[in-house]
Amino acid sequence: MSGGTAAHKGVGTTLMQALCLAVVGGLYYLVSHAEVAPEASGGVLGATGFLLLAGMLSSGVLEAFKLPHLTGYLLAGAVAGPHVLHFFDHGTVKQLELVNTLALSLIALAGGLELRVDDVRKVARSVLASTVTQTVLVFVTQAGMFLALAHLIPFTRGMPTMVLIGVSLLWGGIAVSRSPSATLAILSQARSRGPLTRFSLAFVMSSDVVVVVLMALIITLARPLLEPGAQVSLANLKGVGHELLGSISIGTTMGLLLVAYLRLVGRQVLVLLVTIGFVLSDGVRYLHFEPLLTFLTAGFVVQNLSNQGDKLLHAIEETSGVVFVVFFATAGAHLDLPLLATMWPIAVSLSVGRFAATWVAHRLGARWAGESPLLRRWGWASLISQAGLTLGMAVIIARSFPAFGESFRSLVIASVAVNEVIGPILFKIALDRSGESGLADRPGHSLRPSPLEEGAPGGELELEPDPLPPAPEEPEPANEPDTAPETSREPAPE
Amino acid sequence: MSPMPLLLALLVLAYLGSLYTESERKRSFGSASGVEFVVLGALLGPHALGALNSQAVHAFDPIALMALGWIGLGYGVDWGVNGERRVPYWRIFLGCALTLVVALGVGASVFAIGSALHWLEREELELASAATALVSAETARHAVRWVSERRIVSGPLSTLIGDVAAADDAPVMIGLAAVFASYTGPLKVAGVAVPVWASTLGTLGIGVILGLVCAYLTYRDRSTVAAWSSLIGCACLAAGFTTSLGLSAMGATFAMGLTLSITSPIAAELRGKILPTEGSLLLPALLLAGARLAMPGSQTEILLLAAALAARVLSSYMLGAAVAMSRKPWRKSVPWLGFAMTSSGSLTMMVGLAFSLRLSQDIGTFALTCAALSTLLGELAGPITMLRALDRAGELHGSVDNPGATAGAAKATP
Repeated sequence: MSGGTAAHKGVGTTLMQALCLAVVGGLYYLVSHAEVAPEASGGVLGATGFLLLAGMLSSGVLEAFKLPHLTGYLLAGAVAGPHVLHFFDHGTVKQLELVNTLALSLIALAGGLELRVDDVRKVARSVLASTVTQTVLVFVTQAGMFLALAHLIPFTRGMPTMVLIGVSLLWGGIAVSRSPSATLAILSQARSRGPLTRFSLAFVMSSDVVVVVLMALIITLARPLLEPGAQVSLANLKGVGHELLGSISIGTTMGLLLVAYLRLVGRQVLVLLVTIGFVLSDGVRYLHFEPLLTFLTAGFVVQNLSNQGDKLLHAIEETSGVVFVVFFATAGAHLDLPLLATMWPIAVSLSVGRFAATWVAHRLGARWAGESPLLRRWGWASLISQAGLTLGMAVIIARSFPAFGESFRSLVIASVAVNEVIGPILFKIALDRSGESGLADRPGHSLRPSPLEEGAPGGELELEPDPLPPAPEEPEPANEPDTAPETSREPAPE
Repeated sequence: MSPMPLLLALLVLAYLGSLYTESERKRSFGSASGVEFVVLGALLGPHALGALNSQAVHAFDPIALMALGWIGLGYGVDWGVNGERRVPYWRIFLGCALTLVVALGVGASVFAIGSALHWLEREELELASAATALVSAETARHAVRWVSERRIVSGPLSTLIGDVAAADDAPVMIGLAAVFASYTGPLKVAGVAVPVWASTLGTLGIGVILGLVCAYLTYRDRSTVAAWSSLIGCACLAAGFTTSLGLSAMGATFAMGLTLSITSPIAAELRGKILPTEGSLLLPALLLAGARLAMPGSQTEILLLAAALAARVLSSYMLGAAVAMSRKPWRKSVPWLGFAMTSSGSLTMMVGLAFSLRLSQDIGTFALTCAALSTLLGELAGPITMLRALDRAGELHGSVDNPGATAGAAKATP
């Protein structure tokens, strides 16, 4: 569970982790194949424990292959889940979704805390340019591609052209969404800092708002195409306006209350976070506001209107590490592999198309914004992942258009499965290659624009030691528990 | 009533509980056992004011189960440890022996009177007697803690009582594993029939295996996140496995904690992580336990409860008196130490809650009610008499807040 900067672990450690995984898996197999009394319960508890341990151990084993921890969590969930080893059923996976509420609130709160106004200003131009190019190009190309492939997609065969155009618009909107949770999880593991990190955070968090608005707009415009007799109604847009403003207002209030608590009490932040995560998420949802945006705003307020941001961020990092493992392992268990097996040609084609469109859009946006070569080269990598937000929008579409909604949702799930697995790996590679991994743990170093950032071709981001204080020796990675200092092992919520 | 207000109440209690156990020395308010939260739960519960209905209470069974598992882990990792010191073997043996004597006394009384009154079928009566025995077996741990949080205590008697109290959980936990296995009956795992005795060992075995895994993982990677992931993961797994099989989650997590305590080179560090979290789960669990309480259904049950309490008081008193008689300087404290040993606390209530969650309603509720009454009685008698006993033995040296105060001031308190 060490950070992304950890050196190679010994083969012995990897083998021991694999052995522990086998022991835990073996135990689970035995228990799940026992004939038990019908009144016995405990499946959710066991599944939670298993996903936590298996996710942690799998990520440790995969670390030997330089894969991100998130991939390990997803893999553990997918293999143990209802589609492969059947360690637990769909009902149990559904019950585990409770963790999602807490995880998403922590993710959004941490996301807001990471958005420092000064940092956002530095990347505002890049984010704006990328948002425009990504939204337009990805939306247009994905809608066009869906239209072109419609004759190969089972549920769109035989649809009238206008309906087909409407469904393609919806697909285009879905393709624009990203995964803030996956981005934050990778950043947490990599302990990264630098322009790529700043850009990725700012873009992914702001895209959340853009996507919410865009989807409402698309649903409004597509409805007359999809439902004969329906007219364009501005009610949806009004609803979105209410949702956005309300979320920001509540988020601001929550942020100020958090600041007051941190200043006046400042203790037991962990319990407070759990309370906020479970209770306020439900409260906000009950009021028809957007929890992700609410918590994002709260985090932003704490970070930028007080000096309590780092304290809260540290508390969240300590809590969220455990929650992230269960969250992504549950997401893995949700991956519908049989569905992917039947839909993979279409899902992969659409994902490849989205990847290409994202890359091209990013290059265009980066050129438009006059971006540094570093961002130009790697900025697209954080934009591939899709997860909870995308699936949430698919659910909304399924509810809004029952005639084809469920089939549409299945295709979204299959496509998300591809992007959810590939995206984090690409982003981790980008952070490693750009030299930003591990910079958050190096107190004696600061980021200076490298020749590459200033436009010189060739190199990567450079690290220069601060003149004051003198840079300490970089601590040993966390493979030798007897010797390494505690600070080097503290980092990583995974 | 929707479960949301109860969730809020539980979270508030978790918050209070985390403040409650934030520091060993800090807690100078509330009762030793936290029985006031049991009373609160009972008052709010479906059988009193009805603010919490049965459905809302049962919706939190998984949380109660998790709390029990985690608290069992805490007992395991702290078993046989008094402060920073490991308890000598002979005192561990003494602690276990005292617990067994009290448990046998209570169990035999309930069984004898229950048989005479034809309360239940024989098998059920055996089960009820065993459950009552286990909820009555805990000795003076909370009274010791209560006194040490308020007074500067040192001397051989207080050390002995502290050591005995630190070692008295194991028979209860093993008994819990045995009662659950017996109630569930023979299991069939992967086509192989597993008898009750093997299920009992299996309960503890699951804990031992996961304790070893956890010891390795927490030692290998010392980051905070890895430690919590391993601890929570293994505890959830132990509790989930055993509950799925109808076995005792507390028994398994106790074995896991004990294995961690024995095998991990960083056991003290892990203890330092686990024990402060106890309060966050304990207070909500006590509230839930209180909400599950019900008035005895018949005169027979009232009689049996009275018999169980009387047997507990009598056997604890005799044991306390015997300990006080064993050395000349302690003899002055004979009457007080006897009553001080009746003190019980969170273990009693948690074992009662475990039975209430698993056993049939009659037996489970009876055991829980017995646990609550035993805790209440112990709370009324235990800490005050412990204070007196230690005062008589000359082992009180002033107040924690005012170290210069004389021991005689203790008589005025609480």
